[in-house]
Amino acid sequence: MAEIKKTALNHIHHKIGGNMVEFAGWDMPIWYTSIIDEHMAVRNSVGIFDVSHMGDVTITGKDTIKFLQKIFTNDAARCEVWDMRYTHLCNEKGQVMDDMIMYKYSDDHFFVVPNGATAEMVFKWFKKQSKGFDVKLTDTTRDWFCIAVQGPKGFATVQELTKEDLKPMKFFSFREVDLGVGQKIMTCRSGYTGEDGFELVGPNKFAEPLWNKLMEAGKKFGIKPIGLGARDTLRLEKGFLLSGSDFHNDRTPLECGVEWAVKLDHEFIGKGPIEKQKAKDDYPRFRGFICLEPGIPRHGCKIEVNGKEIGPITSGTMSPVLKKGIALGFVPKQYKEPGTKVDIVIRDKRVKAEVVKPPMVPDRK
Amino acid sequence: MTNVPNDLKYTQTHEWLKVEGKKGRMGLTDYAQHQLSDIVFAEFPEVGRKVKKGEAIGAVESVKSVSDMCTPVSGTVVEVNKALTNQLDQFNKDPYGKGWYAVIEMSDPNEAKGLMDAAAYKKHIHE
Repeated sequence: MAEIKKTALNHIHHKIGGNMVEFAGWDMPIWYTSIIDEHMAVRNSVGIFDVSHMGDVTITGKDTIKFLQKIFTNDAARCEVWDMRYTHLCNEKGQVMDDMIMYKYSDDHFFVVPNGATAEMVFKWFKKQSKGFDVKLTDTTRDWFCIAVQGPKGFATVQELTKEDLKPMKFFSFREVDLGVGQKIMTCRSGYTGEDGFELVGPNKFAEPLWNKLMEAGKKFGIKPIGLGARDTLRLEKGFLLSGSDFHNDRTPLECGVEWAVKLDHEFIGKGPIEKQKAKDDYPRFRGFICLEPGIPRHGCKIEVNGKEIGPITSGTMSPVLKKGIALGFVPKQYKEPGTKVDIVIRDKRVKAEVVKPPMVPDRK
Repeated sequence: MTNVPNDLKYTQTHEWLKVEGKKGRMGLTDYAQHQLSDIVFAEFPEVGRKVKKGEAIGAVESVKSVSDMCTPVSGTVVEVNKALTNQLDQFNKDPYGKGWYAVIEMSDPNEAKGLMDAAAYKKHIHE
């Protein structure tokens, strides 16, 4: 069996009582005190996550943009310096292999963060597709940390660490910021919770000092370490896709509801089938579901209408905010309208649910 | 420290059984509730249902996962703790008390004797 990978913060998780599980080959905390408490801490104040299992790939060289245009559905040429762009990575059939964010330092320097479970596959794919391009690919997944600070007090917590005014940073932009750990840290205004906050990326040796500083700065807000369990329930309430659960080489970006991350005016792998699907417009739709009766849908549950199976649930949980079962899944086009009543089959029992357009928990304004 | 009371019997699948005459009261062990974290849903069997030792007669669910409730003994379900539906945190807070799950009228009391005692269960969960 392969060795279990450990993040630079692994010993801290063990020390503070993290309930550890193997996730994507990494020894990761699933929760520390309780998934619900952690979830609510992020919704109401601030939480800190170790998500260092996420991939880290640097692309440099004069063909960087041309190469990224070939492999990504979104158009690297439209990305400004210090901006971030969400994109899908598709195979030749136009099916999503992974979703990720690209970060632009310059025309010949981008950074990309694939998912933890897919990072190795993605890097191999990049290598394979980079033949003939003047690019250099560097995988620093094992050597770099990623700490997310999320919640309505996430901004204030990170701002405490620096004199630099972070307010002008718009959502989905990044900077190199002096956070007081001896080297500037890649500071990205982004996250996977639907809340304000930052994701911080840098070499492993700065992970622990940064974690400790953030814990100290967030003390007055009641900052809590958050495990992967609440990370999943937080993204589910917002209807964010999870690679490997909601799609796994079987769904196109259109089916996944992210047409906005597909730019059809550039050539990319998988474009042909996606264009055809768009023209035909009969593809399944990605939707949210809120249960109208007690029950918790899970990945693999069937969606039915009048006893006839119409599609699969791909993620589900009990929503700590709504205190109801919620889910994500795919339905044929004719059932896509919000308010459509369906049954979700949970252990042979039909539970009534309603189709919604995510997010299931609305964003605060 | 995980609480493993000495007066109970235990299954490999983390249910406890308290023998009360011809009846057996069952629930989820402290170890299991801790592993699952917050329990947010429970499904109970119908009262009157005939059940076989080891059979999944219902389930409890945490935010993240589902855990079948397997009866430690054969017999008939005579009582279920439906009151828990509105206070599911009792599964977590008081797993051997208010958090009990069901009562089975045992068809073969010898089955209970074959279950693990506290010492064996502690070994089973590596404590």
